Amino acid sequence: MSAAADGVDAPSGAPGIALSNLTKVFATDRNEIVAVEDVSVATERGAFTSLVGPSGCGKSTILRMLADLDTPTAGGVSLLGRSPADLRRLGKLGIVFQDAALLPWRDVRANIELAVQVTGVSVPRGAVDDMIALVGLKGFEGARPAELSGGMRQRVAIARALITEPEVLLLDEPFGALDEITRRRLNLELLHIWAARRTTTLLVTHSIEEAAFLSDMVLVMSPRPGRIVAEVPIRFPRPRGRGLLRTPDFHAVTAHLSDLLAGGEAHDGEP
Amino acid sequence: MTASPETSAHTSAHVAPQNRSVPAWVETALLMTLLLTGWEVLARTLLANSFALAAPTEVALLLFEQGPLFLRNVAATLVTALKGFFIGNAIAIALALGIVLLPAVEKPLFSAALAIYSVPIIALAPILLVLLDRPDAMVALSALSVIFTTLVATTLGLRSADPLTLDVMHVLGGGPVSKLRRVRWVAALPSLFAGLRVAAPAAVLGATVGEFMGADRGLGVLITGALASLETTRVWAVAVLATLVSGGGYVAIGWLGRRLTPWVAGMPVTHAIDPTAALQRVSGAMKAGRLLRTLAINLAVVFGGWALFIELAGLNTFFAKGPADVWAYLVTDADAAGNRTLIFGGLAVTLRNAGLGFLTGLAGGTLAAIVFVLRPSLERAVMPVAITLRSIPILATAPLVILLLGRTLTATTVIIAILSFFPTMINVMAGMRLTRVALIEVLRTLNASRWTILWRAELPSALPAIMASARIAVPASILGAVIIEWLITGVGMGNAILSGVYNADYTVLWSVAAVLTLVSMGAYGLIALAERAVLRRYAPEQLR
Repeated sequence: MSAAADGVDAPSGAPGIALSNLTKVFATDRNEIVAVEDVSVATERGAFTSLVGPSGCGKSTILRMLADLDTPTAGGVSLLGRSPADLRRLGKLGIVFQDAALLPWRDVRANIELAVQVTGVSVPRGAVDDMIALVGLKGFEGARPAELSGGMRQRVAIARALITEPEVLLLDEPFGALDEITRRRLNLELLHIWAARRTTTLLVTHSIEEAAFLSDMVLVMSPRPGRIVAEVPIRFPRPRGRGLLRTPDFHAVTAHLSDLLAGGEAHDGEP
Repeated sequence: MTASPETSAHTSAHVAPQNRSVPAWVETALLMTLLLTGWEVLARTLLANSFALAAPTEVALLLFEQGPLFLRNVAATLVTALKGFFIGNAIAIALALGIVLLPAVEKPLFSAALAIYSVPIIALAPILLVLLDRPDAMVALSALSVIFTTLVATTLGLRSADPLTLDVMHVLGGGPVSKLRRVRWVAALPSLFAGLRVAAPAAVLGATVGEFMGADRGLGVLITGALASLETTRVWAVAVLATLVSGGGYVAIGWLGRRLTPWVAGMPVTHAIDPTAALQRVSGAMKAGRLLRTLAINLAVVFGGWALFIELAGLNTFFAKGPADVWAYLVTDADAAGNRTLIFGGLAVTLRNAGLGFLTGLAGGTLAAIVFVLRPSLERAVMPVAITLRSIPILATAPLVILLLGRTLTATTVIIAILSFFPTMINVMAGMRLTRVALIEVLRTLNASRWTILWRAELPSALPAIMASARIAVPASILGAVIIEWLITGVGMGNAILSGVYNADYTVLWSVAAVLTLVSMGAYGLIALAERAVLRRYAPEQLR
């Protein structure tokens, strides 16, 4: 890989997201499905990591365990050296799903404030207004979700995740339901917002381009049972801009990731 | 705030398939057996002399011993109810087809149907019994009891057809009739069956109310007899019979519906539980100005239809009174003041009775829904029992509650509360379940407690369901109150009806029917307005 590496975004060295021999088995009435099998990964604090893989490879299952929404069958997960449950109790987690999951009866401002009310985290005066401006929703403070487009709703969901200044940000296909144009724009904006605080982030996505554009590290997963087949460091300098998408280096990285994903499928017995 | 074990249990019930050790029906069967055995033991030991509980075996024995007597009476009611069920539903379905093919007639037709729904049949019964042949009158009461729910359910069903499929039909050259036949009709079946299921117990209630007023045989006769004797085992036996007759129809039609519409199994159930609750789109979702206009249409339909009916039917003017007669009776007659005291004094008592029961039932149903949503394990075991209890008609609960609590205000309140308790509980649970799973997970990740999720997300999601339940419970509560007053306590509007029947004063009876209908429709309209305000805030998408 010929991507330029420089010292600007040097990793911190402190522990970020750690999975150790993580296994998750779902038991149904008839049989057991191994969703994640013996996955071990360690990222560093402040790193943006992406998890890519085909549908049903266990990406979201890993994210759910990191969000304390699910518990491992075997092995362990930790965030910044602590358990997800600890971090959750401290109100230090932020999460965004593909479904914006807004309260339909609250306007934009109140939906963002919900996170403050629920976590009990205190935010400085004017922080909500700043956040609204940051995600580009100035002028829509009083709008209800029904009056917003899909992209705008997702901006609200991101603002709700960021307003409490979480230590770890978990993104599960946050732009998966949006059109390609909106998706690219939101990725660019997300990158700007993220760069300001360098929150430890895990993004689950189908999109190789999205993963390569945003991440310090891309983890490629194989389908069932979910395993990590490659850890690909992405060393493009930050700040990254739209121009990066057109560089040969970027194409080389996405091609490499595509090959790894295809290899994962071949490995599974698909032609 | 810390997470409790229930928190994870709740979410996993929402998200992951649960690992059940025993099927739900086994749990339910166990619970039922436990209940019956405990009952038997209690009735034969501790409460043997309380006159409240009859042991299940005693009830079964009485039912067996006097089988022919019971069968004769039940058969009479069944025949009446079946006729009423078919006639009423045929009318309702024809009207619904008319509405879909000719949308212009929707407003007045719905107004008329709502008026029919709001007339307490107990007030109508003595009038119909003198205007028609006795058996015909009972069939008519039974038919009137089903029209509204079936009309609403069928119309909603016909309109629920997938617009894309209709577009495809359109491009292929299909006209309104072929769309109706090939697409809409089939799309309407699930909703239609949900409506018919609710109509079955209603038809039995209509037939029985007619029998209360004087019949040789029938369930109504058994109930009045049991109430007169207050013989414990007999009251229980009659209650069991009443439940079997009206619950049997409910279950049978539910089964038939599932057989005939197998594709429904995987569909999201929105209004399949109670189609009348989905009526918010028809009536709750009106703009305030349109609501006033609707009110005017309603009044015109009620009074115009009434006056026209009297005029055209050429009925005996001794029995048949028009709006003018009622106006004279209440306003211009010499003794109008005394008449008003009878009618409006009675109305005050009836409204208090109905209101207490209505509020109790609504609050109780909402609380029960909260408990079940917080404890899904409890819900799994109790819900089937609750759904069974839901189909126990007022015909069975009234004598039982009187037996247990006496002829008291508490008893009246409980009987009326039960009418709205179960529908409210089921609607509110469905409403709370509308909360997006992703939203609950976001809140959990933000360290929200179970109560926070309930308070901030699930309960507000259920508010439209609570309002819809309240709206449809209004006429039922008023009807329940008058039935109890007429049958048991002899106060309020029930007393006014009794005095009208006793003195053969048909103006009183028409006045009672008119006043109760107006009050019922008015309360329905007020709640629809409040519901609109709630919808505007909590479910704006339903207002489109």
